[in-house]
Amino acid sequence: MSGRRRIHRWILRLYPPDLRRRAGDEWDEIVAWHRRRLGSGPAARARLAAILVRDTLAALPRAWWRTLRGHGAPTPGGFGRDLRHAWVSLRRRPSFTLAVVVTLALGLGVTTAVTAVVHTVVLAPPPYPDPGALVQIAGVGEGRRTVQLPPREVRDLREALGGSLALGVARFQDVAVAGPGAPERVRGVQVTGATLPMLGVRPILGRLPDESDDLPDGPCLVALSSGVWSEQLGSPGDIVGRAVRLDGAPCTVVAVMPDGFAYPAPYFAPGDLWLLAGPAGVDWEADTGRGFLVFGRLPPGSDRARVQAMLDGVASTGDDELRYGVMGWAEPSRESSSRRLLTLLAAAGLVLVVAWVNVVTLQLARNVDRSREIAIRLALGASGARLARLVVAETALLVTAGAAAGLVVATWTLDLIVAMRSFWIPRMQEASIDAVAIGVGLGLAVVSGILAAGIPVLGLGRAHDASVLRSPSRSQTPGRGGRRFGRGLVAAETALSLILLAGSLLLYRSYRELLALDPGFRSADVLHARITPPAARYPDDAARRDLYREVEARVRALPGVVDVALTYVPPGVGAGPEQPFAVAGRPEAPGNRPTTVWRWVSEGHFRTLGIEILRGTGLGDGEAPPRSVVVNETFADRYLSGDPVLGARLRRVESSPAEEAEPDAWTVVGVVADVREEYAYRPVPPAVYARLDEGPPTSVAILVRASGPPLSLAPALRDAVAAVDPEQPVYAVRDLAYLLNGEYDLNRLALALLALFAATTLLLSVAGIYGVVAHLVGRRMPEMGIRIALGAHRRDVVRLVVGDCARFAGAGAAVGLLAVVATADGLATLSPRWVGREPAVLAAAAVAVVAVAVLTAYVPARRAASADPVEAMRRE
Amino acid sequence: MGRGTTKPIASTEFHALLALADEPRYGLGIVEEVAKRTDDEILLGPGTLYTAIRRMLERGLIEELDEAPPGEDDDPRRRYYRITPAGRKVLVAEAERLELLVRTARAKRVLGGSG
Repeated sequence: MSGRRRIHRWILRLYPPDLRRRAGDEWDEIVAWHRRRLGSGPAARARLAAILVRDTLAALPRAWWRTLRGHGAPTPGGFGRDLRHAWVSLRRRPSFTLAVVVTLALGLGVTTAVTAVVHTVVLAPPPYPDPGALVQIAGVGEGRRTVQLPPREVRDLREALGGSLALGVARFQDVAVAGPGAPERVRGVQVTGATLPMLGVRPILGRLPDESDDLPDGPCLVALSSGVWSEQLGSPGDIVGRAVRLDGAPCTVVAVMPDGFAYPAPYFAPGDLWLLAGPAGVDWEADTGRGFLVFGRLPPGSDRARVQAMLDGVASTGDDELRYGVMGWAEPSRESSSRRLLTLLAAAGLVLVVAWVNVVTLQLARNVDRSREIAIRLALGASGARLARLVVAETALLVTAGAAAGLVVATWTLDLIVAMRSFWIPRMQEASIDAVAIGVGLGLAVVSGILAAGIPVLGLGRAHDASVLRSPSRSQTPGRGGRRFGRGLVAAETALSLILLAGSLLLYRSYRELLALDPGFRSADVLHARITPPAARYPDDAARRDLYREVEARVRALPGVVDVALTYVPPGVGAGPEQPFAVAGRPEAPGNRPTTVWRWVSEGHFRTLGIEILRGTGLGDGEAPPRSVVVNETFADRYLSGDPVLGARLRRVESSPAEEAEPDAWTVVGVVADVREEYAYRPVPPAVYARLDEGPPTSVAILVRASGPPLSLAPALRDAVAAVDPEQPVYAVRDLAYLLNGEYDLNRLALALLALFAATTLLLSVAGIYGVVAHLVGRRMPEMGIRIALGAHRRDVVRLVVGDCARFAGAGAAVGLLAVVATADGLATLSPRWVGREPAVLAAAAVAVVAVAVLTAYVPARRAASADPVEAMRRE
Repeated sequence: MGRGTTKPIASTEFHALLALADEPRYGLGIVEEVAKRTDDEILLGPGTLYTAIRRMLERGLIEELDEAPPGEDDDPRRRYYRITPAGRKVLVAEAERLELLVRTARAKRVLGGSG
């Protein structure tokens, strides 16, 4: 009974103060009358609940609406007057005002910034006209998706979908652009004639290439990005119709695309120029190279379901487990980004929640401080509605200032996020505080306002209680309710800070784990650069090998160079496609062919990278006969165990017909230590090293071990290549260690943000806990004075206050720990080497936040201990 | 004349005014009277009732009595309300408006009975 009665009283409390006073005890009478009428039993209770809910929903908004519009009691002056009054009142309390504004700014700012990123990365459509009609076609199967489709399948799709859907394709083909300066390597994209028209973007110069340009024997045609046009070529106005040299061969420019056009970006790497696939020699039937991305534009009136139905009719994908599926532009990439970003958004949301808790705390403290003032005003005849309007005016000013400052915080936070340049999250660089982010920010600001105004307005009714006026002292001991609320806030602040602190510590541990992974080779002091000889000028393997040899010799001769290696892909950066192979003298298990990483390296490879040769020899001249290979330990253990490793013979399967015919082409002459092949956090795969000049690489990385800072060798290295071939671009000139750690980008970004959020939260909760404890202590000063008068030591008073705070911070920490344990899986998406819920880290974080709470409480506790017993007695 | 007294009023307010037409009542008294007269068709919730009371007070349609009317319990927690002349005028106007509606409905044979 009393429980139910309490619920009715709670409903009553939601109403404006004047209405609440008017209803008074009659409220209970009416509810009791309804209950009597309905009788007892669960059905009657449900009907009563229905009546009350309907009543509240209908009446509450109307009651408040009239109150806030001032109908409750007409006052001279309008809301403008209230605003002026509120302004004066806030200026009289600068520290309160500043605290609320800064708190709101931090909470709203970080949330808005992360919202902006989420919006751009996950939700914003690709920047083409009518983006809703753009789709992507991919192979989909149980739990996997293949976005790159083989050329033969692309041809089949084009034939099958033909007129019903405009199809566009993209395949990257880097090319060197010869301009007035040094040749530059840029990202070319092979497209069909229908591709650029499908996108719906007009060129700034020339005309879009179309299907009539896409002839297998036609002249080379290219559309340039405005970047290539201006930066590499110097913005000539008459470029259209002229030929530029791409990889040393002439190609006619048909169009220059507008600024920002970087198809197939977004989500895929941005293209710099677009080559017609037909003239570029793409043979849709025989090409077995990399696949194409396939996009489409739905015609008006069509939808994805219809396209999907057509796709279901197209013959198989060539892979039994896959069928064609239609999806939004870059859907797989968006989905994986969104999982990671939502974790960050949740973290930012926690900062906002802490900010809200703080604002409520501050308002609560202020409310009690003002209770006397409010009671006097009410006694002098001010209406509750008028006071409520003052509170609303004050809150409006505070929230407006907080939101404005929050915009600044959001801009800074976003700058920070963008500056971290995470390559793992596409489109990050495009993020800006756009209309959507501002809209969300404003929405959250309104919620903040409701929270900030709600507490004092609901408190107005209690202030009417004339006992405040009768109370002899200005301060009074807080009631049980107030104290419980304050302690609840301490617990909430502690719990929220703990979640973020523990999360960022766990992420930090994960990051350290990543960095501590031993790649197995020495990446420090190694310079990385790449050259790709164009097929036009280096038509065969022999020509390329000569170039590689010449370049290696010249680089080796440079001062400051300790050693040089050439390799197709350096270890740690990529493993290349898996190579199927067979061991001579072993029966082949059909359908279960062993595969290995197959690296083409120059003889200096092991020395340059400090890879230890465990058995046999390396690949150096005179050390080993032609067609020798070295394998890593994993390869030897997995595939050659039980047999003599040295002397074992291997055959590459699905290589050239000539090599296939040779039954045992490659002889193992040595075993080297395992090194990280691609990702440090994955197990080392089996690997075979073969001589570069016995392989087909059309592109090589130059690895230079330097005696000084590696990047200082970059100019000399460029000169050395230019001395061999002045038209040959050198690109991807980087510290090898930098390349290796690129994959940690995401982890680093998440770590930085989470640490920032955790620090902010901790700071806010220090302020909040201080506010609550100081407030509660302030109320209890007379009590403390009496305790001291009655013989309590000041030490005991400190212990009382601090102990109280510690108990509730401890309870909050316990709740926070449970929350961390429950939500840690979200954080795991942010790190490739997630350490899990390490008890030591969790414990440390819990101890830290409780310690912070206790230290924070110590300051007001000292003040409590200084209570003057004489003063306290006099007041009583 | 108070502002808006000739405007149509909400149905809750009409019923409350009707309940107060014969004698002053307090909150629960109004709820009981409305329920009785409408055969429990209209059961006013407390929020709806006091929002309406406050609004009628503001518009001068009812006024609060200083003390309980004779014959009632003098329970100090109860507040009694009485209809004002302005309230009676609004009540009559609203009743006439409804009567007109009913007459129209009859004339169009929406309702049964004679003219």
